[in-house]
Amino acid sequence: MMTFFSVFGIILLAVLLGGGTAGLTGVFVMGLRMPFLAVCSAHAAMAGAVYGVVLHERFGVALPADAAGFAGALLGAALLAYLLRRRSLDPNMALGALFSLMLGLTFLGIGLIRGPKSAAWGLLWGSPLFVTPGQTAVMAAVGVFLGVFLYVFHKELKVLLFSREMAAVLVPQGWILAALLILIAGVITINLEIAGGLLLFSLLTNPALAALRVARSYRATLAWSGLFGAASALGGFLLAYALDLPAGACIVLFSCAVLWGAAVWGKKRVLRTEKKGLSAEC
Amino acid sequence: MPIARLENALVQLGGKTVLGPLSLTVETGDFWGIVGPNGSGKTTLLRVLAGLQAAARGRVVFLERAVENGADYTRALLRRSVGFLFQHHEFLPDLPFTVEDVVYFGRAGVCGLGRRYGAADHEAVREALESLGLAALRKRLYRELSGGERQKTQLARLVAQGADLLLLDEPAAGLDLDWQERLTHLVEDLYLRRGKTLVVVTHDVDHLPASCNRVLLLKQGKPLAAGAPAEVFRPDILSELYGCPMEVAQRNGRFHAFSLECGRRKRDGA
Repeated sequence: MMTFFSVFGIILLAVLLGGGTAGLTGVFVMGLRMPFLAVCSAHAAMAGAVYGVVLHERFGVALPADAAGFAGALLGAALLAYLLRRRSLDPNMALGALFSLMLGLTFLGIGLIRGPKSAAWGLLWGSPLFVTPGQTAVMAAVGVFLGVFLYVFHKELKVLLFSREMAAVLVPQGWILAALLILIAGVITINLEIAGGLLLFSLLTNPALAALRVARSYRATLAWSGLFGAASALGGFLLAYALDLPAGACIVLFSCAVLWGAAVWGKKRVLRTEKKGLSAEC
Repeated sequence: MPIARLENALVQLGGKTVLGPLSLTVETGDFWGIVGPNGSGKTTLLRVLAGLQAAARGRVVFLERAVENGADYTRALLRRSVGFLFQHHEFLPDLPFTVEDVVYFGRAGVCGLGRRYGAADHEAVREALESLGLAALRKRLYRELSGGERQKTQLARLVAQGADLLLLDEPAAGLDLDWQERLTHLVEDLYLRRGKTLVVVTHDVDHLPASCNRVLLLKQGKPLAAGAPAEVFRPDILSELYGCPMEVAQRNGRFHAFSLECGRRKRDGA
């Protein structure tokens, strides 16, 4: 019984950490007007993890799935950073090209796996039930890094979110963006096990979109987005556990429900404010 | 003392020359007006001066240091010493940034990477907000402001930054007549009251205040004329610049250029 609770506790902690960090980074993914960045990085991480399995199978190189996934996501981020340096290329076009490349590489890698492919398919859908204490510790470390980064560079990040053009004049935009891309790669990698590479996109974008509907400041946006991300992951996981449904899909659907709720709340608040303004004028 | 200098600078985009070769010296206390039709290379010139665009040939010198290959020491120097007002800056309206947030952005480069804002930063922002009459709007969301109020906020950001050289790209473009005049006066105030060195880009001669003391006319990326406004704003030169007969009037020290024929002649294929 004790073992069950400690294992379940680790899973719940992992779910909360994964959802919270995904929500926080989602603000930057959306704020930089690059929603495709999430899906592209997720597929880069997935490709990395799949080739980790291939390397182990063919050459006996034992590479942890997380490390391989992170290497893939980093490679994807480096390629993206290189493409973004070419100002003639629209960021979303660069992401589109990169996404196709990563998707092709992932499915080629899955095809190259000789043995059982269940671990690779697991990366597509995700399942928090298989999270290990080691992975949870990595998640906590990434969460701490993310928190420190957001705290230390908050003023630079705010300028970057406001306008990349303005940031180029006011702050060392290249360094900040590169560090942010690495952190996004880290967060996406740790979340592969939670929501899976295919569904992770929603866990990054939906909480941020929901937060933008209700927040009235930058700090509040980050706080709400982290909270919505954690709530989506936890709510979706518990729903999946109770009803014996796929966890990744439930987490994503729960995040959609959170987004819908936030949109209604935000709209009601705007209407209330307008009503107040009208009565004040009368 | 020269703040910025271009020596035979030539800028190419996609293999096509968009500016130059051009030499220009901006001295401390200058108020340059860069005037030309759309696509004449005005914004490119500002971007070169701000270190955002590299010159394919020639030299760009800032405070006697050559701006070469984006070297870090010149980048940091530029961030502290140059204020840039963009004509249109894209921003995500969903992000809830307040007027005060945007004015604080001006201090981001001055304060230092990863450092918290200090007393000097708070004081600079407070002073900028008050002097531009934005104190009452400081908690308003930037996205809820009118176009004129946004430009005013951006000018407050430049004031808070405290940069010596301000590069303004069409500060009054796209605004109604009232706001055009208000912005023109605010720009003049930056020069007369705060002693900033200004380079203002405009396609409309009317937007240059009377205190503008240097003018460069650009046509298809090349300098057509440069000098004091009275020497440059002549009907024959402006007619050549815009490709149609222009008339010039002067009132309260400001120049106004107009043509009743430009559009008609172009429409008729003349």
